[in-house]
Amino acid sequence: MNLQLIPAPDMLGLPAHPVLLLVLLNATLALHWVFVGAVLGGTLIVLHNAVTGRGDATRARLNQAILSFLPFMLSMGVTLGVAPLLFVQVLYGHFFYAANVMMALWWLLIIPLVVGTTYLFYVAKLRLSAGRALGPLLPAILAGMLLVLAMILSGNMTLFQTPSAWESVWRLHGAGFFHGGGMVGRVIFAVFGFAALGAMFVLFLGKMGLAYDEEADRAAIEIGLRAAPVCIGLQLAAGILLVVLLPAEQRKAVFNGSLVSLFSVLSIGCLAGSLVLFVKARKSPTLSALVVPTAVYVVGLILIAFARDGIRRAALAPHFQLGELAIHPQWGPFALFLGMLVVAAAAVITLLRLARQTE
Amino acid sequence: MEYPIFNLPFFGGSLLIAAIAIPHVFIAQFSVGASFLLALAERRANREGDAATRAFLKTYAFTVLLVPYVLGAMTGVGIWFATSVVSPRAISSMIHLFVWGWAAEWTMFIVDIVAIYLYVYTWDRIRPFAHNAICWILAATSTVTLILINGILSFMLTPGSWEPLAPYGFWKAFFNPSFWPTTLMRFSVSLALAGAVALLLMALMRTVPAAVREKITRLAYKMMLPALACLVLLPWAFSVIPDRSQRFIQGGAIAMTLFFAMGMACFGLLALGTILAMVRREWNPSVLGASLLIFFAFVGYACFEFVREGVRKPYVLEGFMYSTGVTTEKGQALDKRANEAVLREKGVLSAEPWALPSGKTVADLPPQEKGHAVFKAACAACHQIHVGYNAVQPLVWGWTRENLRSYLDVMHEHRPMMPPFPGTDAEKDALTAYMATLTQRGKL
Repeated sequence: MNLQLIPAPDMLGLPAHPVLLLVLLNATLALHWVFVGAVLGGTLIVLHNAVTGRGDATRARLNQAILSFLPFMLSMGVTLGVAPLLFVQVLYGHFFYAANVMMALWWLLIIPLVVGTTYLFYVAKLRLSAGRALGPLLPAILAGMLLVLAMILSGNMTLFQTPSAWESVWRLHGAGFFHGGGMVGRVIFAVFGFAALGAMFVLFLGKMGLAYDEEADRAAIEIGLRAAPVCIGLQLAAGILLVVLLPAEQRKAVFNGSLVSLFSVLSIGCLAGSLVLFVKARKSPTLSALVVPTAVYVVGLILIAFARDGIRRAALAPHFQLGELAIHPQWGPFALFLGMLVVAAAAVITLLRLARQTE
Repeated sequence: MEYPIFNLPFFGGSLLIAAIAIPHVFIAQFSVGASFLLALAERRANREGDAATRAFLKTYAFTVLLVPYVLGAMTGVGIWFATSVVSPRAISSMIHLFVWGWAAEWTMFIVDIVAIYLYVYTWDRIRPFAHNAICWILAATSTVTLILINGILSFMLTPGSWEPLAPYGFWKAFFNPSFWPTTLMRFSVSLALAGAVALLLMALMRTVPAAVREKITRLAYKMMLPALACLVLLPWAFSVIPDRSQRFIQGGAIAMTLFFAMGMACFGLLALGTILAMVRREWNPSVLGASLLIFFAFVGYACFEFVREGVRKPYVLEGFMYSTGVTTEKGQALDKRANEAVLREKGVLSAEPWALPSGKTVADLPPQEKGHAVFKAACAACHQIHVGYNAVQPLVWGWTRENLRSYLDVMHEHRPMMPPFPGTDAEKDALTAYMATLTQRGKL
């Protein structure tokens, strides 16, 4: 490829050591996945209920309960996505922006899709609240919109670590949709993971008695416990296939005994452990029997985020290494961020306590 | 510069950002004021055991706070998406300078989202004191987000003593000369918007009891009164901007002068309308009256934003980066690829290979095609070609080749909103050859 096409890193350098920025990027990304995953997975369960449970009042009530949480979960998912969006720009901005422009029309489509999805959730919820049947069409549209979002984001992330594809994608001047470099495998892997998160979300909705009534709670637990291990199993299979199909230099990063290898192996272990624990929990789904596999799964997600980042760095290595960037630490502003993070955590805890002060 | 150039036909990048930013700013500002209105009104209603006022506030919280707030949050992220496509070099520098400020703002966004949903969905389910406390937390955190984002935005026009990589750069940039007047102004406008929207909602809900109507109207008027301060804050904010920008407002750019005057007039009318209504004890506002007040608040504020963006030209980051993404002498030591000194020597196409047709080098191109590539690199950030926003063809109809060529040497002197041409003389010649193809009327 024409190496001149790769922009230079930002002239202002890094405001902190790259390791700190990588930790923040991947930890916040995993948190973002938890919420957007619950939204996509929750929507798939709503669709499943709408298709297979026509005329079933319990399923309808469960759908109403799930839908009443989804706008909040999506708002949180989008908001939590701001932090990884910030840190990815600091670390890899020159690749990221180039990919954004190259698939600009798709990239910009994300905004109306997210806004549209949010308001369609309200429409679906209001429909059920008014006692009308939901039908499969609206959940199918919502699931479709969310899947398109997942594909655009995966396409963007794959394109930015594949500079060799840039010239061919740019021939469409912003309308190009990148689907090479293992992008399809990434989407499948992500969607199974999101479906698993959705199952866990519904499971806890039932376990915590938030799914409308006792019958709906029981249905939520049953569906969640059935779906979670299946989805995790499929995600594991897709993940192994994805690694096998990675371009050679990226695959090497997974198998060369580096930290990336360690993160990859540990993440597989976490997912497998979570699967086994969920299967075991079917016999006696106590709260602790559900919390442990969920926590193990979330740890697995964090490890996946780190492994994925290592694979990205391996892909970019011929053109760019984070170690090349100048560091100009901003300790004062970093302290401001840390202080605000503590204040925010305290505020959220206070808010949750206030919300429990019933009359 | 350096990145592929995305051209949104007809509208261009600036209008794309404006289309996303306007609803976002309006909703975000409104939600800050609305949280104060709700917190104040609910506290009083709780003290007086006033169930009717609480019922009105519940409607206000859901219909005009939660539902639009979601749109505001989404479009806020959307601005980033759009700027990364339209102006990647500028947003990159902003992110590298302010990442911790934005990260701090992000922590408050999370509290906002949790607070707003809890507030709306726990009405009549938790103790009134606890419910009101949730709203006060929302008011506090949303105000902090307003302060943080304003420090970042106001920097773009008034960087003050900031120098790239100089000690305490973040703080100098954040507490820039226009930080205080613009922060106070944004806060005043947010209160006014919340008050005016409350009036409109009440005018639309004819079943609201008269006593509730009076209480809410009194509070709404009080919240709109600080808009009077904008008549001082707006001139204060613009008194600290660079001399070049001040000249735009003082008649140097007629659109800027008119919009500045219109903004002042709208804030004046908003304040006057509020004072008159208070004097006449108008506790039963009409839909038209309330809509007019919203209109004045919105247009006044939109004028301020338009002028703030407009008078920054030719820079995207005042004194540091032109709207084309080329850095000025301030960035000379840091920017080895797209600094104006480098480009004068190596040419603008050396830093913008994406402007060339695929697989071609500069040497392969005939003058007109080279000129087209130079146009994409140096002009397309602000100009469309044939029709649409800032299209150049209608501007050069009837020009001679000589006119065009000599104009490129002096355009930044004749039109201070234009940056100096960033490339070599050979590139000027090529651009002239290309522009000459656009000078005939009717050849669109």
